[in-house]
Formats: sequence, C-alpha cells, structure tokens
Amino acid sequence: MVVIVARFNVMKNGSIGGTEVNVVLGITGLFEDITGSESLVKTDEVTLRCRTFGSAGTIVYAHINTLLEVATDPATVHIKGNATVLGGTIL
Amino acid sequence: MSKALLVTGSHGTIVVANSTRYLPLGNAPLVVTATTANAQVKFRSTGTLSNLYVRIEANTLEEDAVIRVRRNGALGSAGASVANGNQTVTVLAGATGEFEDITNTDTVADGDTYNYSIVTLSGVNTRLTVASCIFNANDDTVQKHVASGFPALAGREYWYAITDNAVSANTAVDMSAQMAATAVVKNLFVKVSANGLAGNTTISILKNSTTTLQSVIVPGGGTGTYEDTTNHLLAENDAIMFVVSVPTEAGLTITPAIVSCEIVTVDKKFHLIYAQASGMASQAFTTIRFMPIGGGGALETTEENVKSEINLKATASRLGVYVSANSIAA
Repeated sequence: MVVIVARFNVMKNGSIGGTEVNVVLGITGLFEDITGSESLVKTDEVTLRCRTFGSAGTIVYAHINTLLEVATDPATVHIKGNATVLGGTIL
Repeated sequence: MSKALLVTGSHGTIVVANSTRYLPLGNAPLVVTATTANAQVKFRSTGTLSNLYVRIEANTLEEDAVIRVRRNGALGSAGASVANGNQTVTVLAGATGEFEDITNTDTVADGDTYNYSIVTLSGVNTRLTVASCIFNANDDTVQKHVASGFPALAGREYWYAITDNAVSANTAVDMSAQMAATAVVKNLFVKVSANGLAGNTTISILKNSTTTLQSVIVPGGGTGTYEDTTNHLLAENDAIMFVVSVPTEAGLTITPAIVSCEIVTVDKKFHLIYAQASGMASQAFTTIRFMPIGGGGALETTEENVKSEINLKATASRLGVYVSANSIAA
C-alpha cells in the first residue's frame, strides 16, 4: 500500500487548485503532477502549499517548480461599414 | 511577444525604518541589500515591465514607504531620481496587504539593469513577502531566474537552484530545476560583490548534472559583473542549476551577489520556481506551510501573507517538487 506523507498544491484564492503532488513514505527525489492543471485569470491570487501527515519526522524540499502557459487572447477584429455575422461568437 | 510573471518572494523580509534597501527583480528570492549594485539584474531580452505588485505582511512604520522599480540604478550619477523607473507604489503608514501600480510601465532595453527599491522613514519596520512585475518581452516569452543571498564562499563546489535563496550552502546535487517545456537558456549574468581569492572562480549553468552550458570565469580579486551571452537549447525534462567552483585558498572567500539567466520559450510558457538552500525548508509531520509561487526562503504559516496576484490569464500545470530528505513516519 502506498503511504502518502506530504501533499503539495498550487492554491488559488485560498482554495486547493487542480494540481497536486503526493510524496510517498521514505522516498526522495523529484515528484511531479503531469496531468493536473489550474486555470488562472488576472486577479487570481496564488500560493504554494505543503501539508504533511504521519506520526513523526520531517520532510525537506529543495525547490518547487510550476509551469505557466499564457492564454492566447481572442483576436480583435475591427469592422468598418456593414457586416453580416454568419456564425460563431463575437467575444 | 508574450508575458511572464516575475515573482520576487520570501516568507517575509524585514526592512527597518529610515532606510533605503534594494532587492532583485526577476523570479528571485526576496533578499534586501543596502547596495543597489548588489541587487541589479541585467536584461538582454528587451520588452516592457508593468503591473508592479507588492505584498506587505506587517508594518509598524509611522510614515509612508515607497517601493519603486529601478532602472540602471548605478548610473544615476546625475541624481538619484535618474535611476527611478516609472512604476511605484506607496505603502501608507501602518498599512498591510497588497499594493499595485496598474498605470505605469518601464521599457527594457538590451543591457539595462533592473531592481526594486524600498525607502522607509520613521517608525519600526515593515515586512515584505512579494514584489512582482509582468515582463512582456518583445520576442517570445522570457523568464528571468535569479539566485541571490549568497554568503562568502570558500574552497569547494556549490550547487544552487536557478531561483535560490542561497543563504546557506548546499551539500548535495539536488538543486536542478526540471524544465517542463522546451526552452532556450541564455544570458548567464553574475555580479560579484567581494573577492579575496588569488585564483579563478568559475560560475556555470549545469545541465542534467553533467553538461556545462554556460560559464563565466571570475579572475582572482575580480569583482563586478560577468556575462556569458551564448544560447543553449533545453529539451523538456532537462534539469539545470547554477554551480560555483571556488578554488581552495586558506581563509579566503568570494561573495557572489547575483547569479541569473534567462529562460526563453516560443510557446508562451514560463516557469515559476520557489527554492531554498538545503535544510531551510524542513517541515515537520502533520503541519501546513505556505510559500509564494516564486522566490526562495523559509516557510510561512499564514497563507494570506504570501499570496501573489497572477496578473495574467494562464494555466498552471506540471507542479514539481524535489524532495531531498524524507523521514516522515506513517
């Protein structure tokens, strides 16, 4: 049975976000969440959080890395004169 | 052209009253110094800095404090105001929380140096946890990673994360930050503040613990700035760190003030790293601790104190943690 002794999260506005790293009993080295993600908007406030479990001992971590992928803004279209929208959404 | 968030962060750095202090601008530890040259980070990628954001954890100052972006601060011989950038926030006496300049911007030219300053007046002190800017590079997406807070280093090899609060020396090669996207590393920049050595010191970027990508040689007695402006491709999952190789000379040391590099991607991705020299982030069982999303230093018990506004629309992923010791029992 896998025993988790520490859990890391990116926090968004005080709540646990969609990324999570679990550290297993007695294991050191790199732990990574390669599937989770969290969408962020400009006013979101973020932190890193580590919660430990267990009955004794400590964990030492050297660095925490987060990848940010910037969202592409919708294209801006300037329309002069009359235009007919046939489909889709105007943002 | 795309934006990156440059977070200078810590668990809380005290600035006393009636002082002027400087701190590095980048993805950097929030380390303050009384010498502006020891906080300056040279940019080779051009662009625009905006959205100066500051978080104050505690404040017993009796007058307002001013925090600014500084441009080419050491060149301000015509008057201190020459070096002040356009972005500034005023922290009212006794006020805590977040402060932001959403109006002004600063243009980054090739070779400019940037840092932050804080000027305090009467009272006791204030405690900063986060200073950040958006860097909108003219080409691609550029993150500026900075290690700072180095002690005097003597006679051996030292390893540091590329965003390291390097206040205590590491003893193991566990500081490599893994790239979660393909990228180019370039523009290794080093500022040496003191050097009593006769021999050469080499400061490098090491990939996957084996391959030296960039390096500068600091000659015996040399201080000032040193650069390697070559470019090197990083594949996804490559890991890099800074290495400082100091010659052994009895009782003699060298003190780097800044070691930095630029990580560039073409697909609008950047990393934010929080790092601490070995032994600093030791967390006991059954506890909860918080850190800013970027920077370096010890751990914080109150989340509110280390929050950073993200200031751009993005997706966070590939959360990675390097655990160097783990004695927690079930």
